[in-house]
Amino acid sequence: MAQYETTIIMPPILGESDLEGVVSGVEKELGERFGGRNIVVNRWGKKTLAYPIKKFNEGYYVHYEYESDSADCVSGLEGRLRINENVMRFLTVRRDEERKSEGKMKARSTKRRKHGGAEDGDVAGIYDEDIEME
Amino acid sequence: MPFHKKGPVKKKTFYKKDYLFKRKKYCKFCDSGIAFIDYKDVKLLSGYLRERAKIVPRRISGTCAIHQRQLTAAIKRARHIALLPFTQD
Repeated sequence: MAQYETTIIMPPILGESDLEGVVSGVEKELGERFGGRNIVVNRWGKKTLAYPIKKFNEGYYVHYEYESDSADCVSGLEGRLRINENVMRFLTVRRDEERKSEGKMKARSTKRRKHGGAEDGDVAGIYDEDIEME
Repeated sequence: MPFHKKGPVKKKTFYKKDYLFKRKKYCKFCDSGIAFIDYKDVKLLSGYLRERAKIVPRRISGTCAIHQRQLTAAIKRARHIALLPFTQD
């Protein structure tokens, strides 16, 4: 069982109905054709792009969170998104592996918290600023 | 001894610690207990970009190696979906 999240960007010229069509179409395909489960759809709405894509300065962002057993789900979905003319850009990220390391990092963080000698005011050489890893 | 100088010349040496008090850098992610850096958190990530949208090196920001790696990956993901710029003029 792997958790994934996919973000898609659609052009700003899409009408309300077209937009909804794409959003629900992707959700439907994800659920029925590619076997995605627990699908959560987050609409981020129209956002300004950091750089123009296909000469558009804005885009509609939609974010999907879902679970799946096989990676075929992702490759299948991405194949469909690539064909879809109304999807300018997409990004799929596997989330569960990152969550796995989260616990480990938390323990490490608590150990290292407030090690900084901000109050000590001690003289740090200009070259010994890197924190050494264990 | 050079003929035009009278007496031994004493050169004053400046040590860094004489005039430079440097605050110790620390990893802000470790400090605030952030275990995972999310690519969707534009506000956080944009703080680690320079003027021309380059990633701030960890020798400047003080971020630890593990977090810097996560940060870099997150920024690159955010760039792909146009949340952050690749470059800025």
